[in-house]
Amino acid sequence: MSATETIELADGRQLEFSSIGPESGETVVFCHGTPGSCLLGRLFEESATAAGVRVLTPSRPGYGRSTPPTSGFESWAADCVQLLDALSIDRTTVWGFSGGGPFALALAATVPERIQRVELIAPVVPETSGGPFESLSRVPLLLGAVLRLVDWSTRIRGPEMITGQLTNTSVSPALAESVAADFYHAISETTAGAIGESQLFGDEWALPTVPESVPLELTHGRADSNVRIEPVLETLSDRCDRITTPKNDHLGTLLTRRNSLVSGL
Amino acid sequence: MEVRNVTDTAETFTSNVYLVPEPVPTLIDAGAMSGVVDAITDSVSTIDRVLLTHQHGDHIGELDAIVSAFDPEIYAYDAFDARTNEIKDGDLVSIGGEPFEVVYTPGHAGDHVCYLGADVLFSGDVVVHDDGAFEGGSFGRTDLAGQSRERLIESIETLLDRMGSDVSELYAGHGSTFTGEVRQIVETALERAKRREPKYPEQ
Repeated sequence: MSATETIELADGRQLEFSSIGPESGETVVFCHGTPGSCLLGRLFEESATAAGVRVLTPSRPGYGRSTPPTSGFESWAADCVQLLDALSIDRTTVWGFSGGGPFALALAATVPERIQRVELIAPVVPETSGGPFESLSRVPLLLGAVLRLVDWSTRIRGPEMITGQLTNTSVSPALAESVAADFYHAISETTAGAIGESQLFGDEWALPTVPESVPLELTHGRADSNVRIEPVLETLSDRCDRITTPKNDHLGTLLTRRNSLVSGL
Repeated sequence: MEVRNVTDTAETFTSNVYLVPEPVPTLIDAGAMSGVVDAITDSVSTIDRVLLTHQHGDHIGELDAIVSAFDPEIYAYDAFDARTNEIKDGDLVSIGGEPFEVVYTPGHAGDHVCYLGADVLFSGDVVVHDDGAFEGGSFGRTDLAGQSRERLIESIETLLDRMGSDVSELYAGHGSTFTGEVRQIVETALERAKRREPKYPEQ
């Protein structure tokens, strides 16, 4: 995989992103989870390269090398638009996983004419408040300390410590390494993103509204214990053109869906 | 129509088992999950009717337990001890208070039927949304004794012939539940079956 890149935004902040697959290919903007970073895009390395699809994964502000503080949905969408402009990309598909779901919707709500389709994978919705690490985010002031502890114990106990929080299915060592690397990179510079977004999701918030002209697709595991499926279906069913509910958990849903995400473009 | 999958907690191989609680508590298939009776009684006090798609072990393994617990009517295409109601191609059955047509769809199993409604399709193993081989439209295996890919293809074509364009919910014997344009999933499954390639490389 190519090293991560950065662009300088109009106000001087840095936005870090990874780019997988050929530059000439059809583009996807992938919105990582909470916490997460541009390294999660690595999951699509094989499939995107084989299919000639370009997967762009920006780290949201406060994660990895993207300048904090956490932005709201609109500000995030504006950052993405600057990234698309900088790379001369007119139209893109958007994927949002977990805490990245609302941010994916925000981008589509802001520039619907530039969005092919939105696909949400195990997205957080308002009723699920705290997000995939809900129990941690109930004490936001302590979250930084907790994340550092998780970071430390990951080094001692290995990457499976992270994947074990998100899926019950066994994950190959290479995959566990990728997911842990994403998590580790997310909080490597600062925990501002993880703390800021947990507070954002902990407060009152609403999903950005995407115009009907943009097709919306949802995949959510029926066995997801990080983000329960019921409130997600209640919130999104009426708006989605396609809904797939596998018998899978949180990360497992993304891992099993990732090849067909690319081939389904 | 409310449809619940009661095999979500299964840890060993089973078909999906769908519970339609109202107005007549009905199961589509019995599955092979031990403890399925408890999973059912979490939602409803009894089962009045079980509609089988076919009699493979993963679909009827727990039928005896369900019969002992609830003594329901059993609808099936092929005769066997527990069957109370014979069903044939073109029969109408009621699921969730709505009419469903029985569509005879052999190929994966000689006694296979699908239950086709105006909005909902219970497809058994003829068409599934996803399995180990494909996503977005796959079909039941046909490499074992008594199975036929050619007959399965014919069955999927029959299903498409009889299906309206408004079918928007797919409840298959295995894999994900799908909401959207079900015709598209069935068409994709047909196209993949027609390649006449082994579904799994070792097949």
